[in-house]
Amino acid sequence: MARRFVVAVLVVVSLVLITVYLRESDEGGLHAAQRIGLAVLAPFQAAGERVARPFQDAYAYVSDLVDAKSEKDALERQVRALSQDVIRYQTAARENERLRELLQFVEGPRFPDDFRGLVTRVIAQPAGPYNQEILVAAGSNDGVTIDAPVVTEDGLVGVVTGVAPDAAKVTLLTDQSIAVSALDLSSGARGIVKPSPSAGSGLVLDRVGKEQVIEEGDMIITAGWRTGELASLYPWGIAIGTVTSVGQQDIDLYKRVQIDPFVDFDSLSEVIVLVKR
Amino acid sequence: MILDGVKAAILVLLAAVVQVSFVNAFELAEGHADILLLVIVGIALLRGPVFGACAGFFAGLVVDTATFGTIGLTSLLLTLGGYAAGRFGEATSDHQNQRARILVAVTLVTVGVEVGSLVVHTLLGEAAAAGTIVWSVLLPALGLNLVLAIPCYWLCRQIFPPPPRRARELPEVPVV
Repeated sequence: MARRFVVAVLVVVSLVLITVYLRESDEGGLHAAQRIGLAVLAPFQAAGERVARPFQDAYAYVSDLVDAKSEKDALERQVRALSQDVIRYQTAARENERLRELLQFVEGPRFPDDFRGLVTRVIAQPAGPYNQEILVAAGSNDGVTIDAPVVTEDGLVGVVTGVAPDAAKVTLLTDQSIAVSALDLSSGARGIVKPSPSAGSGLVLDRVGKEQVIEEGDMIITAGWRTGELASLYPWGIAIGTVTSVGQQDIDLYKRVQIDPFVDFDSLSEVIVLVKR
Repeated sequence: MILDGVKAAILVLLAAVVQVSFVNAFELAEGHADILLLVIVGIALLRGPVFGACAGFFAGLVVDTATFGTIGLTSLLLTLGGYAAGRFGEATSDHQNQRARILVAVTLVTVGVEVGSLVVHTLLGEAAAAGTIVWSVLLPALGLNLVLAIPCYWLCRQIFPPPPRRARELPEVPVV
């Protein structure tokens, strides 16, 4: 009982001290006593602080090292995340720019009248030199049909040769199975564009009679012919390339015309599938 | 008793100075070891609740003076802490595992004083986020206190040796 009384007295005294201390002014008795006590204790504290200083410095040094390490790790994580963001944004910006160019082409005067353009991404590139085909991310669900021409704003790319609901296979102009009737925009000379058997991704304009006039630098476009019910797969006026060399030999029936295609078949990322209206 | 009082006053004074000018500088998260509290717990376990409460009251006055804090606030907390540690010591004096007894006492008093401090400061309008107090102050302080509990108790035991126990008298056996 007496013990509890002692403790109760100490608690009450503490509460009284708190109350008085908080209510009195800075000039009050408790504040004055505290200042005196502080003056007495200050030398001890100063001595203690002096002793502690080297240990504090060592502790602060180690603590800073730990903080610097964790900060470095955090910054490295941040840099990695930001690098990924930069790559994503740059890719998006390039794609945006490319799509704008395609859109300008689709809405421009060079676009064929009877078709609507379906802009789509290339989801698979040619697997090798013997397989000149790409896959695009548009299929029968989007209205893509077999034999639909495929272009970019630069020129003719190829033709759709296989269709799935959400994808289509496009055979490029550089494939040996492709032949496109074409004409020289300057002279009107006609021929058939085929892949060059010896010039990598180059093309040739075949079946051009020796009497026809073709000069280097001429632009070759699709001929877009129609005979009765039959019509060319490719509408008139799609750019194919420019003539880089013209030659003929006495034993040949036709001129030898090399064409440099406008389209870079090695770096196709988006194309336009021409869907009939 | 008077000698114990003088020794306790000197020990508490030294512990308060060490606490204020030395130990408080070594923070883990935002918490630090509380040497003064460990000394109070040690004294209370060795000399009982009243002695522990008085030592706590005096220690609080010294700390509040040295830190220019609100006089009486730390006294209130350490008085109750010293009393509780003393009562715990009495209740578990026969316990076989003395280390566990000390560690449990330090845990209880550390948590109690920290929670009490939070409550009192909140009542005085100095509210702090309880979550921050628990994670950044209480847990680091508790960990450090538990690490230092046994050495501090050993020191207190050197200064306040426990009274010798009376030898248990053997019952007389009638000689047949």
